[in-house]
Amino acid sequence: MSTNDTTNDTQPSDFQRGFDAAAQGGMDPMMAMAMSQLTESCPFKSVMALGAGFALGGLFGMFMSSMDTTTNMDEFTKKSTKEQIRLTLKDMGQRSYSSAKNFAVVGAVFSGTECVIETYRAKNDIYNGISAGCITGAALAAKGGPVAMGTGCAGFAAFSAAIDYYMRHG
Amino acid sequence: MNGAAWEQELAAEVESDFRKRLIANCHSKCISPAYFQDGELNKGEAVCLDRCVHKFMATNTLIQKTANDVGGNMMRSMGMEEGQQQQ
Repeated sequence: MSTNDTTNDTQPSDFQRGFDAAAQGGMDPMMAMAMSQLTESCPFKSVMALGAGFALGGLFGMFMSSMDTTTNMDEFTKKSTKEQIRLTLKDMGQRSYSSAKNFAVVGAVFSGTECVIETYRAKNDIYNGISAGCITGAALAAKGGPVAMGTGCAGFAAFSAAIDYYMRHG
Repeated sequence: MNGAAWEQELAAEVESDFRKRLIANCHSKCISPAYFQDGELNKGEAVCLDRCVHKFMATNTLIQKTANDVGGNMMRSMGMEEGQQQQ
């Protein structure tokens, strides 16, 4: 079983090179491993998705609020300019905040569930995203009863499958 | 003197062989070539490797213990103390 192949002994081994790189970077390798363990943990990923979802949802809500919803135009134009601006900004803030909350919850639940499923299965493939999408869709539609939950599951799972497929094979 | 150096070399060889087998086994079981999209280990692979190494070590320890027990029983049944060479 032993091999007497010493042709690569003059080159530094992978371990040596990695160690040197880590040493030059200034971070203790144990600390670097602890950092990477933290950033790859499920709660951290979930919180990151929460933050990213909040930001994205805020932007989305701000854009969507530009579409006119329920302003009574006669009454609106009679107000002073300052009042109009104030009301518009308040409406924009409300819509963007509500959209941000929604997106944040969706992102956190999806990311957390996907991470947990992947940890359990110890595999990295497309079925993690599909299952997590189904659970997220069902959880979001929980108030609507079983049929709504089923539809939500199917819809979100299909959406997640499409995005994952594009990212993996596109 | 010669015996001790030889034993040390043998121990180093066994250690190196153990490590080689461990890495080869767990790499083939956990890292699927279908998804070589970036160099970092993703969560599933990291978890799989953790479990694989743990199981490998546990198997090795268990078999060593069992082999020692069985060997010890055999030696005792042949009327010899442990550590004696067979004449």
